[in-house]
This record gives sequence, C-alpha cells and structure tokens, in this order.
Amino acid sequence: MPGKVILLVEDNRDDEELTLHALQANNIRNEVVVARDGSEALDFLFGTGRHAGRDVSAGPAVTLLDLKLPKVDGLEVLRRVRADEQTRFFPIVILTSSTEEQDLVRGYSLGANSYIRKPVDFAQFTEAVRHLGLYWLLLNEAPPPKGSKVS
Amino acid sequence: MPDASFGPGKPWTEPAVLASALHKKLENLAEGQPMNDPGLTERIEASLKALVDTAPAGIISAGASGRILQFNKAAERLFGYSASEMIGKPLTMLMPDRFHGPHLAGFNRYLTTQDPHVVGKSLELAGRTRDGTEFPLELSLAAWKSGEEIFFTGIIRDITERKKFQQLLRETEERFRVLLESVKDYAILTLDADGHVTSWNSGAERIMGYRAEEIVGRHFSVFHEPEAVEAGRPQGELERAKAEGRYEEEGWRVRKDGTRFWASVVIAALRDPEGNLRGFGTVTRDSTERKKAEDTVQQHAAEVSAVNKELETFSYSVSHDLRAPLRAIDGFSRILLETYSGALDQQGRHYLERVRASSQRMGELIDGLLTLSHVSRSELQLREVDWSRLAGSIAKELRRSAPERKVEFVIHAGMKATGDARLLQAVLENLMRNAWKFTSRHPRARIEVGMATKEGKPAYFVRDDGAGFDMAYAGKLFGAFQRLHDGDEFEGTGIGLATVERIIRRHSGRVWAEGEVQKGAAFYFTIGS
Repeated sequence: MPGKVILLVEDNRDDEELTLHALQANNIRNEVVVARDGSEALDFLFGTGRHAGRDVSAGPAVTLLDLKLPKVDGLEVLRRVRADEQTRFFPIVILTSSTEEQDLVRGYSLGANSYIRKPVDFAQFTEAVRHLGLYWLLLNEAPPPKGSKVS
Repeated sequence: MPDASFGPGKPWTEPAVLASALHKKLENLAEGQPMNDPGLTERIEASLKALVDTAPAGIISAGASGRILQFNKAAERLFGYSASEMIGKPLTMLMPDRFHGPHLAGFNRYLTTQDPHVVGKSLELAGRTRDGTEFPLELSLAAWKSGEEIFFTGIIRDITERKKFQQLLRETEERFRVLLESVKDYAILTLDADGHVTSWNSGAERIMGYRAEEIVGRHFSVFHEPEAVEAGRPQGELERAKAEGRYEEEGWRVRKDGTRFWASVVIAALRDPEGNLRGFGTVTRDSTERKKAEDTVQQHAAEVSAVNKELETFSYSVSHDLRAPLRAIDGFSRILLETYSGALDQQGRHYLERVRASSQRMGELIDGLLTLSHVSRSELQLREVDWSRLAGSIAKELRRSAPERKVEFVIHAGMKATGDARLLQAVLENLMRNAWKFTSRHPRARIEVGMATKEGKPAYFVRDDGAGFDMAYAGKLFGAFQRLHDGDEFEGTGIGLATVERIIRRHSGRVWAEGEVQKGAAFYFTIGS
C-alpha cells in the first residue's frame, strides 16, 4: 500500500514553512516528512540511515523535490529513485525556483512526473500547492506496491 | 599546261615525276649518251621553268662570277626587281651593304677550297629590296657543277612573319618571367613529374629561403616537416594533383633555416596536349600571419564562450537564489496580512502591502533580466512569421484584458517577417503592450501595426496616439531599467524595450522611436541588414 505521506525535499527553511502553510491553508492534512538535503531524502526513500528499517514499499504519495540541494542534488535523487526497482514508480514532482530550460529537460529526461516552478507571488504559490494536493493525493491513482504482478 | 607524256591524269608538276625525269636526263648526260627522245630536254626544261616560277620561295641562281643567272617570280615579288632587270647583275644588289664583305669572302672561299661552309645549310640573313627596305630571309644554298663550272642556287624565304612571331614569343616569355620574378608574395615553382624542383621564382626564395641554384633539382619534400614526409604526404599531394588536376591545402611547411610557416598551397598537374603528365606547377603563400590571427580569434571565441558559460551560471543562480527570499518576503507578509490583520492597524497593513508590491515588482525585474539574458544566449531559428496574424492575436488578448477600453487596432494585412518566431513575437508583444499601456489614460485610442519605407528600406512599425515621449530622451528608451514615466503613472520594469532592442540587433536590424508628448509614439524596426 502506498502511504499517504508527502515527502518534501527542501533545504530552504522559508520555502519549507511556506509550503507547509500552503498545504495547511488548503486543508491537506497528510503527514509531511521534510528532508533538508538529497541524502536525507534518499535515506527516507530507501529506508537507510536515519530511516533504517522503514517499510520502503510504503512510498510517499508524492515527493516534492527541489533541485538545488546540499550533498546530493535533486536530479541525482530522481535518478536513483528511477533506477531502483522498488522505487521507480514513486510519483515525483519537481518544485523549484529554476525555469532554466536545461533543468526542465534534465528533470523530464530522468523521469519526473511533473515540473512546477515556485511562483514568487505567495497567492499563486498557495494555488499551485492546492492543485498539487488535489491532483496527487486525490485524483491520481497510485502505482501498485512492489511485488504485485500483472495477472 | 597538262602534258600527256607525263602520265595520264597526273598533274605535270607532280614532283616525283619531275624528279625522275630530271634524274634520267642527268644520267644520260653523265654517260655522254645522246637522248633517245629529242623532245625530252625541252619538255624537262619547260617543266623546270614552270616549277621554278610557281615555287612560293624565291629561287636565284648565280655563276662563279657572282652574277645572277636565274631570278624566279617569287624572287621578283620578294625583291621588287624583274628577272630581266636582274639577270647578269651581282648578287650583292640584293643584300644590305654590311653583308657585301662577308658574302664575297665566303663566295671566294668556296670557289677556291670548295669548303662547304654554308653550302647545304639554311642561313638566316637579311635581304634588300629595290626600294632599299631590309627584310629577314632564310637562305638555303646549293652549289652544283656543270662541267668545270660552279653554279649556286639559293632558295629564299621571307621570314618576316616568323621573326615577328619569334619576337612575340620572346617578349611573352620575358613578360611571363618578369611577372613571376616580380611576384614576391607567392612562391611559384614548377616540379617535374617526380616532384623535383625545375624552376623557382624570387617569391619562393623570399618565402622559403633557398636560392634557385640551391634548390632546382631537389625533391619538393624538403619543404615538408619530417613527420609529413614519413607519412608519405608529399607523394600523396602529387598523386591527388595528378588524379584531380589540382590539389589545395593549408599546412605547416619548413624554410631552409628550419623555421616553420603556415602555407596555403596549390598544386596543379601540367600536361601536354596529348595528356601526358609533364610535371606540376605549385603556388605557395605564407599565411602564417593570417593563421595567427585566426588562432587569436579562436582563442577569443573560446574566452567569450567561457564568459557566456559564466553568465549562464550567473543567470541560473539569479533565477534560483534571488527568487527564494522574494517568495519568503511575499509569502510571510501575506500570511501576516491574512491571519494577523486584526493585530495591525490600517497603516500597518498599508506598509505590508507596500512590502508585497515591492517583492512582486522585484520578481518581475528578475524575470525581465532573465528574458534579456536569454535573448542574447539562445540560438536563432529563422522562419517566416505571419506578422499580421500575430498582431491580430495580440490585439485580441489585449482587448480581453480590458474590454471596457475603447481602442481601435489598425493592422495592415499580409505582413510577413522572417526571424526567430519566439523572439519576434516577444518584440511585437512588447511594442503592442507598450502602446496599449501608454494609451490607457486617453478615453479613445488608436494603435496601428504596419510597414513603411524608411530610408529606402522596409520597416515594421507600431504606432499609437497615447502619452508619447519627448524626443530629447529618445536615446534612453532602449537601455535596460531606463524609464521615461514614473511607476505611478505607467507601471513597467524598463526592460521590455531593452529586450526588443537586443532581439532586433540579433536579427541584424535596427530599432528606433519617434514621439511627441501627448501625441503618441511610433516604434520602427528593420530586420536583416
């Protein structure tokens, strides 16, 4: 069973707080796990380090992934998730300030499900988060957990 | 006059027949036999006379006295004397004075020694005509005996034309030689079919350092670097020239003193009219300076590309790093306004609004700057753009943004523009939005998008009858962050026209504006030079 956890990978405390506020403002009550760098995100996703022993098959309902991160950057996190049999179907939404074409291209090439630019305007940002929650937590049909076979 | 006795249907002048008859007569004479055919002598003499008279060359015979015995028609034409005038006259009459002495000396020597000094050879001499004109002639001299008497017969050809031709040839060769010699900037040399130097000009000496006598005969591979010779390149070049007629390349060559120079080389195969390879002509230019300049340009290009790379990194961090704090300022002030508005009085809320407005404006500025830098960096993809249609759709969008406004759009039909579609759209959007913005204080407005001829060239324009501007500040319009109106009057970042200017410049065009305060403004631009 995919969990209902939202993984927020964000190194900027302001953006973290604003994102949490926007989720709350939109009545999205799912548990939010915050990873402040790429390596922490990988620990959560693969059940290693601080998250050793976590049931990995219960992946986050959606991962909101910033690109510019300390230690391991967002694109590398994406690459590793897509390369692993257990995690490759996890929905990953890139949520970043960058509108650089190269980031968009790399993000999609590595298999991002979506690419969202954080607007400067907080009203627009809140709106974006509302759509995100609605789509990924309610509308989107999550992939079956690892191990289930096509009958 | 045809004569049947010399064979049916054959012309009586046929040399072979004549020669055999002559031979026969001479044989008979030598044997002292009387001739069986009494008419033969006359016939032979008649035909000989005809032959001599119709010969194209002058034929003059003389006895041992040096007096003329025979003077044919061609000789008459050559010298301007008639035969009757000349028979019995001395040969010296036909020569310029300076030849008289040598002629007589040679003549007498032959008579005494019979040394065939000139007899039987062709000589180039000069003749003198009746009117004293000299002309070059070729003399073939024969001496013969009849009994004990010696006779001379000379065949004379006017070689004026040949001399002229030879002179022309000499002059042409000389001109060519002078030309080759005077070419100092090119090494021009010829090679034999195996690649050995056969000729060498002063340009070759100047560029490669060898004197002609040092290099003629040596193989041209001495001009190549040892590695090139080892790799068989010199032979390869000749093979290519042989196969394709011509071989061209640029590469390093070596001078006599061992220094290198960057050479532009052309090798052409030289063939005779039958197509046999006679050798090669090669022209070499020392292009070292140009090569250096090109290398410098390349180095600069690499530096520019490195700077561009840095710029890219910079704009990346601008887009990423400057946005985050702005979002925080905007976000937290908004949360404060919405959630804690009760704790603030009106003045406090006003200040917060100002904070938010400023952060949003800064966001726009950053976006504008990024667009501007993007315009400079992105590669142009040229294609034809339907300018009229594009203007129409922008007008529609503007109308939708403020349906209450009374603005008349006049868009010329059938306009096309060739350029990068995305960038040209940005140009038209900027200009039309500007027109829309600066007419907003007028109750009615007219915005025209069209083409006009400016300074003989087609120019696109966007014209409005809005706020306009003072032409004194026209130069400031296209600078980044330059604004002619304050932010309260008309909002804007001051980057739009700078972006327009940069896009037009990248399309090798020019943009300029005409305006008058409260009468309106017109922006013109051209695309392509």
